[in-house]
Amino acid sequence: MSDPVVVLPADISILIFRHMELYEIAHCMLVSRTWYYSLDKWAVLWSDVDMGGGSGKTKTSIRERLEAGLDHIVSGSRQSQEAHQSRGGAQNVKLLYDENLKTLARRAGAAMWRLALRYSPLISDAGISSLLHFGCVNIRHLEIRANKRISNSMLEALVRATGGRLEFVGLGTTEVSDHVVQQLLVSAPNLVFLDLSFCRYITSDAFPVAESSCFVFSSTKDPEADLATLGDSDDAASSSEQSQDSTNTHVNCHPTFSIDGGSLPKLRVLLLDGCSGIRNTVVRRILTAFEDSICTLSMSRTSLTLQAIQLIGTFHKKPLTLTCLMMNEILTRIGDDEAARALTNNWFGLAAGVIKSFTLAVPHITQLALGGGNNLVTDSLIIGVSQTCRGLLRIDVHDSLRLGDRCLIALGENCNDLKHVNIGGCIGCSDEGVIAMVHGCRVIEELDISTLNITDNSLIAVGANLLHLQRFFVDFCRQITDDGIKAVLEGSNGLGCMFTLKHLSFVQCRKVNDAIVDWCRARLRPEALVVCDFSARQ
Amino acid sequence: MVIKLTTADGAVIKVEREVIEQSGTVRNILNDVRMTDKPIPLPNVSGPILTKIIQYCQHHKDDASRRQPKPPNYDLENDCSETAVQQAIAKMDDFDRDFCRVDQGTLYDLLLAANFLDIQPLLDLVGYTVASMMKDKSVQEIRDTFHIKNDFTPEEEKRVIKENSWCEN
Repeated sequence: MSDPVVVLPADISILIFRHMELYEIAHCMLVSRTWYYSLDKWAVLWSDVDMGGGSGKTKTSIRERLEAGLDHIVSGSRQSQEAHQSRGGAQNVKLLYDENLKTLARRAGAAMWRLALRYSPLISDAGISSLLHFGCVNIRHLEIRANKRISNSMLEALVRATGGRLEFVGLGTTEVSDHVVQQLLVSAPNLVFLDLSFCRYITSDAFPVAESSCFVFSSTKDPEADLATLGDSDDAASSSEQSQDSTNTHVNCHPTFSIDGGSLPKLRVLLLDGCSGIRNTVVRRILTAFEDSICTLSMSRTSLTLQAIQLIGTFHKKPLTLTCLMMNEILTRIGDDEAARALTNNWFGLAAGVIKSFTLAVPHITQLALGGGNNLVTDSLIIGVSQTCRGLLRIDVHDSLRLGDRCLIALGENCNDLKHVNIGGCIGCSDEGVIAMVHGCRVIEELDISTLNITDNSLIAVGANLLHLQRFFVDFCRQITDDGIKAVLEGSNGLGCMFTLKHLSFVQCRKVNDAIVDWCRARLRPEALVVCDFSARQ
Repeated sequence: MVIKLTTADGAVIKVEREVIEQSGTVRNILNDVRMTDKPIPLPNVSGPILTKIIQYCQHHKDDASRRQPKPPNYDLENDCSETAVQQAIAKMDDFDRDFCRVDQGTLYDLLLAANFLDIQPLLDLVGYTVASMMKDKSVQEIRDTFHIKNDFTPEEEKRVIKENSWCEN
């Protein structure tokens, strides 16, 4: 009938277009000249740039992510797999080029508050400098992931310009240097979320050292400069040490500077997964700098040892979500660090005194994730933890081969509030331990006992005791049968987990028949998910 | 209590205070003047549109969350409007869908009136309805829907397509 952009006042037209995704708005620009020039100048429509990676339609708020403890990003392998699948399934990843970013920056200008480039391998310095050129300095949510083209000096300029507003920064899988992180911590007083996972150049120097009255950032080298000198020395392979020394003097060294403690941001979430340069010294720095605010710390696949966790326990007296999966795997892989290797070997059979001091130190931890094949996780450690941390809500020790029934019995005795238990792959555990734990921890909502050598007896205990169970994984349990699955759903008296269960998974359970799937679906709530796969039975 | 409203075309429409208080504008007027026997003039809203809006308010009058003004959200993100919109869409019922089955002119009038009367859920509902007329359509289909003539010169069109190339798969 008539053209909404022409007949309606601008503010109402904007209300209409705010219901659309960014790419839909861009599509609408092709309709007519009026539409093009109107949409082009309505900066507010372009203020939320959220591209690539997760599909734009399922935006989760920061608050949600904070509350979820970032489970979907960093916790057990299963969840991350799921996340990857859903990301791959979205198939609407649109790669931005520099000129596209420039267009967006021009349209949004100072109105831009979110720039989330979750998969942005093609953006380079030119794109970032266009942000500065068009005055996009009010960005509060900055995410640039999977990028190796943006130089550290450009990132530093961006951080300086936008610093005052930044609240959420994700720079995962980039080559960001310590100095940029330092600059960020100095210039962004409102920062609450910092994700630096898989940034291989990050070391402890990114975080300040506490001095008597202030925090001091030590001088750092630029990794690019480092690379440059490496290249130089390769070219002149025959050159003497003297010439190497002379190149070293050219290395771009950032000076030491300090900051008053009150001006540091109140960081709540810090993700350092996969930063192999992160060592034990970082723990003390982080905890003193962000003592009052930090509530989630994730440092899986770093060079930390159990001592670091003990440090966290000693210094941090507040509830904390701590994720440190696969710690010693990286230690053994590094190999060149003799001291680290010696330490792992020594700790392999953890001395009784060490366990005592460790467990005494960690009573404030409510969520502990140490799974992923840490050799340090033994029965005596978990028993010690269970005796000290009686308020433990979540324990994740998946694939810890050294665990046996003793630790499960201790968990059942001591930690009656446990809600999430992941002991999948702990093949030392059996019926006896699972039954004892289930009898003690009756409020478990999520239980993973995959690949354990258990029989139907465990499942009968689960059905009889766990009336709050929502997610249950018994993949690769070769001995369980149809009767066991039925016992979980119906319990001893017909009141099992069938009303609460949202996710039931029994992949590759040889003795379970196909028919049980329909039996389960008939009883579970319609939205519940039953995962099964019998393909390898023959 | 019954409130009288005078529309643009001079008609006087009676409505219960409880129902029309979903309009922020009317609520503010009532709070300010404290006299309710005289009709309140609504010079920007025509009779048929007001009748339709009152139908909407009547249907949603028990919807407590809609009537309360939302407390200012000092959250990390201020796109609470976005999530509120999504919630409103999730709550869309058969009445809402039927309510929006009208011609474009009426939809525009509803938008203008909802904006003037400050009824946020209705604004979201109608705004979303108009937006969904543009979603998942080719450019030519959008032009046909709204009877718009393509006034780009071929060179301009080429340039605009190039500029927005990232949005096409």
